[in-house]
Amino acid sequence: MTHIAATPLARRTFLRGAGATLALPFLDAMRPVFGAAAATAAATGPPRRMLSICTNLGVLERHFYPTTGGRDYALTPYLETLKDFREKFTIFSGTSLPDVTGGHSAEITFLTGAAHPGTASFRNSISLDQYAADRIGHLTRVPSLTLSVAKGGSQSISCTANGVNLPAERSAAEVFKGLFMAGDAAAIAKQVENLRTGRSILDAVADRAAALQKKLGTADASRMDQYFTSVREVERRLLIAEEWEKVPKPKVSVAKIEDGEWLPEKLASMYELIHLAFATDSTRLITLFIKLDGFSEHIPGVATDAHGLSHHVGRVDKLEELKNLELAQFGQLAGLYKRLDSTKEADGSLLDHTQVLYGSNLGNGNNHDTKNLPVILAGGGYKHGQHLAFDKDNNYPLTNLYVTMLQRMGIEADKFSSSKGTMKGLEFA
Amino acid sequence: MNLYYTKPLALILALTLPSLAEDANQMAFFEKHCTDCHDDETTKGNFNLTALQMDFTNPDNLIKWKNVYDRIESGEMPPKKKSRPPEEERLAALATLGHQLTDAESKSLVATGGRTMVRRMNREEYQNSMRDLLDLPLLHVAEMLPEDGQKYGFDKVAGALDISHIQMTKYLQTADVALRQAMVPTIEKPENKKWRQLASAQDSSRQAISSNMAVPLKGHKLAPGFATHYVGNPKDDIGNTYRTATFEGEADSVAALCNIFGAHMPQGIQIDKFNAPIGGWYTVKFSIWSLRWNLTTAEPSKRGMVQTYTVSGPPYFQDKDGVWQDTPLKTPIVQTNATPPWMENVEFYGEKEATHIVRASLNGIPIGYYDALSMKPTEHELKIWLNPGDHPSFHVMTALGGGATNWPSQNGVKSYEGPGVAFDWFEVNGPFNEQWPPASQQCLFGDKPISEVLPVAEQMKLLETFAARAFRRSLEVDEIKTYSNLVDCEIKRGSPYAEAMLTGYKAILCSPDFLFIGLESGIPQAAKDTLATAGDYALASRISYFLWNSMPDATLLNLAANGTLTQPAVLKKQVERMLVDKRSNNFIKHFTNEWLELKKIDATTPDINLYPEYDTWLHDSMLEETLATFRRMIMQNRSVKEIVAADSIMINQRLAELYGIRDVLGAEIREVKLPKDNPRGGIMTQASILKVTANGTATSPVLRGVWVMERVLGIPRQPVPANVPAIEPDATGAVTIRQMIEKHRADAACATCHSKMDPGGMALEKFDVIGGFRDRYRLAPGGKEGDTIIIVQSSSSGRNRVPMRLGSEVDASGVLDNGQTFADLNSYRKLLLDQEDVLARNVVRQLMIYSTGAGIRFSDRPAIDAIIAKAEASKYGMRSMIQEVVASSLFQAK
Repeated sequence: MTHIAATPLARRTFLRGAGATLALPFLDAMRPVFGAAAATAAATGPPRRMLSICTNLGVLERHFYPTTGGRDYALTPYLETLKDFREKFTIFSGTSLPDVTGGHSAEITFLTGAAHPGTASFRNSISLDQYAADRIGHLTRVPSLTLSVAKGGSQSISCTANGVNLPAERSAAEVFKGLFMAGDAAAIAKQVENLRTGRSILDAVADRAAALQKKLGTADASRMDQYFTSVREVERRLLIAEEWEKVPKPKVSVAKIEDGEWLPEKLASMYELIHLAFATDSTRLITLFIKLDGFSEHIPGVATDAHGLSHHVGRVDKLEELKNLELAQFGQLAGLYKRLDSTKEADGSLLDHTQVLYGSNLGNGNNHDTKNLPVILAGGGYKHGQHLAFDKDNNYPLTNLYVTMLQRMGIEADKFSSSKGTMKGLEFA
Repeated sequence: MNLYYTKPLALILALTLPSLAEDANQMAFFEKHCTDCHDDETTKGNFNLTALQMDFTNPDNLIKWKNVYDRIESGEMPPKKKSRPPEEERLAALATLGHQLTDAESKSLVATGGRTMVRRMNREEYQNSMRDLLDLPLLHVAEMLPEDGQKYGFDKVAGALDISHIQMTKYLQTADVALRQAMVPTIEKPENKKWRQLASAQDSSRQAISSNMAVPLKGHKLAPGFATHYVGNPKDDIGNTYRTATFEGEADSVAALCNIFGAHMPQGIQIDKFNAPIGGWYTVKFSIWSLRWNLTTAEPSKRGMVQTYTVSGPPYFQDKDGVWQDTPLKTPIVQTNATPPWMENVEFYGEKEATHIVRASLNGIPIGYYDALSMKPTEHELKIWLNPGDHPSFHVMTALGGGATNWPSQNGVKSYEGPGVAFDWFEVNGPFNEQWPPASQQCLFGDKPISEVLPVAEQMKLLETFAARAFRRSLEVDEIKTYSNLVDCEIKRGSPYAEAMLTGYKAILCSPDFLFIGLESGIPQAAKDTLATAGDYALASRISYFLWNSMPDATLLNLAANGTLTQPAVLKKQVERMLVDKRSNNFIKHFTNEWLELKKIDATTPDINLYPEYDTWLHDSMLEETLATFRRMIMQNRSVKEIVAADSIMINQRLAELYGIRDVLGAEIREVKLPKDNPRGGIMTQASILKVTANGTATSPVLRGVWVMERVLGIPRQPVPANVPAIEPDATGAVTIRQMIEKHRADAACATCHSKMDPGGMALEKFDVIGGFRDRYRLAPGGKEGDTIIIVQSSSSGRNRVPMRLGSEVDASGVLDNGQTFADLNSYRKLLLDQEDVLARNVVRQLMIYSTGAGIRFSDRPAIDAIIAKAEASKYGMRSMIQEVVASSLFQAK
């Protein structure tokens, strides 16, 4: 059961709405986006998307990792909750982010891989989603969404190239409004104006470059040509962004989303929002930071705050509570898989075109270990159904997976952060 | 046998390129002395001369022919074992080939208009230019831009500085960010106010006290109102129980007892009660002193702790009777008063009172290091730009990592003994504004408030002045119209005046005339066969981006405008002026970052288990040492030999500890005479270099050797041949790196290059990955018992005494590729010092590539030789070489 208008319909409405305002040159500029989207839907399939989720206190390895690698592993208690999708995900063990230490400080480097967070001289670097957003963000209404489920604060797992942590949106309801409810005319006009100014600037400098180019020697002219081409490309992208502002927002059959107060409700709301955002192609890049600290209420079999539970110091009763907490999280994750997988898209499902990375910045919350991170990747168009087991003592770089994920997005990248290649053993479907 | 080979070489060449094959003597030379080994049958060293076409328009071929020239010229080829060609034959062959190469290169000049190309600024140049242009000295925009490429070792070379749409988008964004930072939000000049509070009143101090990391002091005693108690239930739930402290009283000062406060308090002691009302310059004053905490009392901070200490190796050791040798103390290891008692290494500085070091930082970026003298409150002052929300932080670099424990069974700081630093008070004055509106806004909107719309003529004047500075030249007639029309257009569309002006400024900052270096003098017309001069304005920019890494100032532009800049005396005087100006620090920093590869300092982090004594103070100090050394070479015109050896060094306390030099107290870098038998002296043996040439766990003589070969001797490395496995260091102690390299070099194909690459690295092998001296390798933890040293460290891991296993002894002997041998570092040094001209030629080439943004071509060699000849008189003094580079035709040409 899906709550949204089928994607092709949304796209048609959208193009009709846009058509009235378009002049001819604009159509040409738009072609790579919408023309391509329409054309490639037939040729190379629907858009590729990426969701990265980080839960901040680790996952109990004993209930998560299968004991054997390969395809024939036996399900563990946590994986049991995901068993309907067994052929649609891959589990990774023995991986971590090289040189990422510092216990909880590593929350902000889960998607960046920057070395030694928490030290006085630490500087963060760009996160996986923002790296992708710099390259494909202009293709959708919103380049990326940065979300969190937390008791407070705006910490996220997304960082700019400058290492600045992007503030997370904690309210699914607010994001829903922004994406699907029409804004007021004045706000739209202001944004359109800003983008238009950018284009005027570029138009002026492009003329100057063109004039220079005619007079320069061949070698110098080739440098100037590179400048000129870049200017024209940015103009085109600004034009697209400007038109997005004027385009009516996609219609969904859900009237609103409630934020929810307890962990399970909050997760459910966020996952519903994520589903809608992807299905309407409002964005192709989302991060979700789950900061568990302080959550315990309304989870069956849990009485202690989540952070306290992660420091279980081996006590059987605490371990049991922690298992219940984590089972609740995996239950919601299964719900997300189901939402995505039951929305048909092209000749597969939305899940088949959406990479869902789920993991933690801690391998062991009890001792703040940042090695052996729990990682599971679902959907997105891979040959899934296996457990890729790497060396627990000499970890394999998780950043290699990030390179593979970028490539799966169709982004030309052979390196990201501390990567040393692409993820061994994970193939495109 | 190949059919082709049966034909004479000359004929083969004639078939491919008849015009160049006319020189029969040359062909005869190759056939007689080269093709025996370098044909398609034998192909020694993987090089087949008979297959190499004499087509110099192909850049790959050109490089190969240059290699042929160099090998014959140096005498490396033909090899000694073979019959040597008569000298006149050899010189004739070289002359012919030399002419051909020069001729080929001069033809390509017609296409490029000169040896350089116009290029965009790299991001450092961009940031510095924006800082100067907008009068915003602390503007940070470099990291908003994508990282720059690199060619010939520098990020200044045109071919490496591409522009993509991402780059262009970022230029739009950074221009907007920078321009808005130049403007002030208020019309009224903010009042210059004084704020002063006790350090103990800061929230961070209170937090540190509550978690046993600091103590409140009244006089030299624990302040009344302090109590510790435990939280939790030690009987049933020990895992969730810990010791905490409360403080209800008044304190004169707060003493920090540990270095970093863990992941929960990375900010350290912070001036968090002061909030800057507006972005601006402020002075921050603070008073600090050091102490030794002893349960409830602050005592003189006797016996400075050192960060590296060995029990069984130098500089201290216990002889077989258990008596400590070579230490100023009878008992260099003492038991503290802590509960439970623990051992501490306290020697090196003897019974003197120790100076402790405090680092100030803002948002994780170090501002400076300050001395805390024993029991003697000392005032320090720093000037800094603060934005609203900025709070300077302070960390004690010389305190232990751990400090007091929070175990419920202990009594927190009351059962602790160890070093600490007391903070008395903080004072902040500001913001200081010499003029209002600030200079940054005046260069955009004049001295009127932004809200006041200026007459069109004045708008034009502002735009013109700004554009001329941004473009680093006088404007062409009507050139400003591109930008003023844009402003007009925006105003007509209903944009507010300030926004419309900003649109014009943004366009100026995104235009090729600002972003590209080399356009300042218009389009140079290349004369046939000679290099066109760059032009006055272009020269002003070239010299300025060379020595300041930023745009020219008014003085340089005026000299360019009146056409006198190219006069040798004027130019020389300008170079002197620019090197004295503080902007030359941009050059010193950026040039050494690239040339010496200092920018790789953070590429790896020393393994905490192998090098626990590595800390951020050492990291920052080692960089400072190299900058100070290079600065001294320039200012005192010291010889290029100081890359290899020097009799005095530029160090502070932390480096003195690492280098085993006594009696250097405090954070400041100063000149210290090198003690006899100390292996330091010269850039090559500085910790920064030794760190960038190693990874975090092991040194590789190959990597260090390549650094010496490329950076000191100026010999470029050859590409790595395919299918050769790299040498992998092994820290288990099973095999030494030397054994692995010797095995690798047993293969003749590997030996050709490695005989050139390895010697420098072999000679430096007695230095570990953080630049410490070693006689034996450190081994990874675990494994068999063996000799152990004790490392004391204060920061990262919270442990303070780390046993370290020692492996085999280090051998620093080796052989040069010409057969000369060296027994150790010092005898290798002598071999290098004998080649002063080689060292000088390398520096001149590096300076030339850096300053002109183009590689050195074959035909540029005579010009380089001429510079070397002129610099010889000064014994290749660094400043003389810079002067000669600027004075050369190569530098002043397009």
